[in-house]
Amino acid sequence: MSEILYESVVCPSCGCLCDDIDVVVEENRVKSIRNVCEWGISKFLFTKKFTPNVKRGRVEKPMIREKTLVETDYEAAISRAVDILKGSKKPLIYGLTNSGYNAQKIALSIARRLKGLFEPRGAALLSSYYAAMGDSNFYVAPLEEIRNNADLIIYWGCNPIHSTPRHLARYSVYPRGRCKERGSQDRVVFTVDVAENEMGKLSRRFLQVERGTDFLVMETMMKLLREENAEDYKGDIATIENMVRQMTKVSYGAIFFGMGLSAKDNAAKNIENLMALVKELNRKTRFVILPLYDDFNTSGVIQLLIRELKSPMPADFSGDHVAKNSKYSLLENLHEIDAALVVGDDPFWSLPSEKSDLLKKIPMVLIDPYWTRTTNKAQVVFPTAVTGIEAEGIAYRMDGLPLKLKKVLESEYPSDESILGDIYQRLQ
Amino acid sequence: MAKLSMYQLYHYLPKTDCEKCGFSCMGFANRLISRDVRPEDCPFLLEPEYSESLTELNRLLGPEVEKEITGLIIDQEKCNGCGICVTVCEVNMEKSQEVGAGRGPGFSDEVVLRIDNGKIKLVDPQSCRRANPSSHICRACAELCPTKAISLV
Ligand code: SF4
Ligand code: SF4
Ligand code: SF4
Ligand code: SF4
Repeated sequence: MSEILYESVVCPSCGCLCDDIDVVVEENRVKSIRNVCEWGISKFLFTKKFTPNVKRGRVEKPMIREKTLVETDYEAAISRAVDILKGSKKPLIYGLTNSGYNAQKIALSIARRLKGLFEPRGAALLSSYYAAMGDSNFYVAPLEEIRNNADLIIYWGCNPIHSTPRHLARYSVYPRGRCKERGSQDRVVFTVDVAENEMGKLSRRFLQVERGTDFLVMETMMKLLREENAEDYKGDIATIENMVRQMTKVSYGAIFFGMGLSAKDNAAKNIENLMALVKELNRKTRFVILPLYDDFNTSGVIQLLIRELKSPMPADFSGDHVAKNSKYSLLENLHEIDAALVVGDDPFWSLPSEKSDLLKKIPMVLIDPYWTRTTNKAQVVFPTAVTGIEAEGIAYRMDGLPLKLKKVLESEYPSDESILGDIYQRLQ
Repeated sequence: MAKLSMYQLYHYLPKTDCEKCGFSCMGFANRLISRDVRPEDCPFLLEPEYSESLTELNRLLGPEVEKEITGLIIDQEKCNGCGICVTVCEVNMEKSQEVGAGRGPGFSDEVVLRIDNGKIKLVDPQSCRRANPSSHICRACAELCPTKAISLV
């Protein structure tokens, strides 16, 4: 069989959605691939993240739980899934940050029809961010604008080398931009994180903070900006003073923040202060702020919520109101839900155990290409094609730019979009 | 690392002197050292029974080529494919403006460094500034690599 070259494919791994990947396919396998980072190649080879030679176990057949999980046919799995969801008073639809936009849309329709809850992974942090952006009329800066203009880049509560490996080279520090022709020589980098890592080496300043106390740093920075006394801060005040001095001198600053800011359930507080800080900075110079997504379509699901419900918050369709959006993460009220539909996520790995323990007690329908810690806890499991490799789709880059995901490999598995579509049909 | 010897390479060749490559096996080994031929130019080395020899020859020759000409030593294990070196390399940028702005080189663009299968590859050591004594000494890729995957001899 001959080789097929697919040029400029979008990598469906992290929120950078790099659109310059060249893939050579032979006999329905990726033979070689260019421009993709080590995290992205793991996705194309169906291997463990950053470990391209260790295969991940795929779910191969639909399964339902008798005493243990047993293989079944697709129809039987759909019926069981529909029974579980129909029989539930308050189901939770969760995950979806690794699905295409259309799949996300159907999942939201399912939540609406079932009068259930809908929450994307990581919502506590991201929904608060988008809500605050809306409240303060900030706009989400395109990555190209940042590349062309930024002379200060701050990574806060994230390590791009791990979560979005090419971000530094493509959009922030190293690329040459229209007004930054010398690339990294024209820019300054700060990193704020709980422990010094590789980012420390390439940052002009590295500020170490105690886990979950970022909001105190932001508060201190604001005080310094307003020339108030900030002596009550217990940490590395000298570095903070230094950073603040520099922050007011630049012409365009960009802050990228990550999941580190949701530590210790302080997401809302951290975001509130970070947004206030950005507002304060914008009185003196120009500053933009963007989340760094490690899932490839977190941005899409948030756009969907904003479009359909006019709010980025997790949606609660229960009760009398059509869409009563909750202020904080719905996972705070996990004990109220009585069934779950999880798409493309592994909550038994990603959620703290006090939350995932509650999920153990309720029937769960799971759609995921891989075996994970969650698989064995589910009542119904659907294998699925990997979106962006085995199925087409649309995804939104971290700054909201929509991109088309290609299908480069044939798969015997249905896409999550078609599984969700079949479930939705049967709920009529 | 000690300098490669012709005999060291000869050891991995078929030693049949069939001359399909145009030389004897020893002659071929000699030209391997001078980089006038690649191990793949011997048709027998492409056969499955010689696959281990081929790998070994490429291991011996591969990094050495880069090192001898450029002084760059690449440790692929450490590399995470972040592409910083690809973006900052000025020769890359001269060959493709877009690469200097962060985009990966096109499939057929001729560049010095590119990310191949998730890892850095010095595809054209001859074009590296360090291979050209008349240009200034460049160390951008090694200096800016965040994982220390590139170092200098
Ligand atoms: S940075 Fe993200 S999108 Fe780009 S190649 Fe790596 S994993 Fe894929
Ligand atoms: S083709 Fe291979 S086997 Fe034949 S002489 Fe050349 S090196 Fe030896
Ligand atoms: S040493 Fe300079 S010219 Fe050579 S590959 Fe590295 S960055 Fe490019
Ligand atoms: S060699 Fe270093 S800079 Fe280049 S891609 Fe690998 S990790 Fe990144």
